[in-house]
Amino acid sequence: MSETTTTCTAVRLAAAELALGILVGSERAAVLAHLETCAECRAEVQSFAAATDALFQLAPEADPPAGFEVRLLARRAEAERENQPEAPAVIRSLDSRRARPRRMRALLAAAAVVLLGAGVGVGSLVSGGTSQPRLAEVRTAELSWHGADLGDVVVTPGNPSWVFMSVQDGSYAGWVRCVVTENGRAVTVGRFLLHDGYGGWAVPLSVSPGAVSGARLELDDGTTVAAATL
Amino acid sequence: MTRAIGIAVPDVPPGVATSQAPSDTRSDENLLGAMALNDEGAAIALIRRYQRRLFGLALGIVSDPSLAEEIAQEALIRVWKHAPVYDVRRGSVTTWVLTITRNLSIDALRMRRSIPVEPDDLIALGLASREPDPEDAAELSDASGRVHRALQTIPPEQRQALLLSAYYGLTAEEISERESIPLGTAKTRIRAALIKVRAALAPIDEEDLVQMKEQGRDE
Repeated sequence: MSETTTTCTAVRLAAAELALGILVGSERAAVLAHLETCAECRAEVQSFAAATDALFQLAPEADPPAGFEVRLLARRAEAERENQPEAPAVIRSLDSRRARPRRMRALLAAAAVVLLGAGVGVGSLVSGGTSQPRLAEVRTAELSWHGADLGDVVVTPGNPSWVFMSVQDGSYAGWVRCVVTENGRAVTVGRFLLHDGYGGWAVPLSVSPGAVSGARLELDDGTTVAAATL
Repeated sequence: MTRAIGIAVPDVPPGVATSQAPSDTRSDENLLGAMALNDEGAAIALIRRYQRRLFGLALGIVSDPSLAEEIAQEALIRVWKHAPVYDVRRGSVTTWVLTITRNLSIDALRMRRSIPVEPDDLIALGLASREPDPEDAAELSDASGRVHRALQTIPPEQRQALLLSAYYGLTAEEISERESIPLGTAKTRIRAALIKVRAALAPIDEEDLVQMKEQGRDE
């Protein structure tokens, strides 16, 4: 139990509504915040969620109209032909765009080296100084999804090493989560904002650059929208 | 029982698999895993397993067959799309797909600003036609039966509040306005009803079970 008993009492009174998905606004936010730190209240909500699930299972079954399956498969096939328009917005409408020149990635890598070496921009955020990496030691990879080239990933050596990500071809606007594969383990290194499909950022890594084998961008629901293999 | 739906080959778009085994015994989780690897056969098996339930749930909520079909199809498309990121720790596949369908139905209903079916009618209809999955028939029917019995014993005003929130997504405030009752009363009714459903799902205590068996032998 966290905070005060009164808070727990209030949360438990609202737990059923939360499990039913009908708690809204500030009340919902307050309950969710409390659940972050209170295992007992989380268990209470989970028990109500199980009861809610049982209610859904009582729902009637009914035969869908003839041709349901055919129409569904056609819809799916059409989506595939249109380069998966139902996929996350970040990769929408990419089929009409030309692939970006490969030299873009080299430019980003060079920019990363310059930024770190000059101690400006992101490099200036590093306390204790930054060693300048050599361009030949910088690793680069295409950030893509379903064959669409969306941007670039650059990992620089040094202490600390940095990961740079650049998205230039999406239409998604909003927060994305950056997940890096370090020693085979997925580690979230930050959340970043894309403006109209464009964005760039850099974060220091806590492991050696050689331990990084991949990076990806995810939406908050865990959907991967772009990935790179290093 | 899964209704066999024939696929009219001329209507099938190029590249869509049409030959399917009549039933697929793989678990839902295995089917989703295979779907993530672009196994279209697995996708069709999952569609056939769930289409009656999803369409039925949507139809029960929106009472419009064409809209219900649209909702059920959208739900299945979303399941297909998100199969690669399905996390078994978040709950069962059944819960996941039913929740997607319920939420889509509520969204559609909110656009219409109406409730086409009285909640009690929906449940009565559902229980009359409910056919459990063969895979977990005993457990599911037992749980469904207990929940159904619990619903029958809940005071009508509490049951109404619970079903309005569960199936139609009405908030306590909306129920309070609809039923002309204080907000606090609406909240209490919802919570009290769900507590009774939860209690119906609670596992029977082992000692109680032994006692029941002994009583049965004595009689």
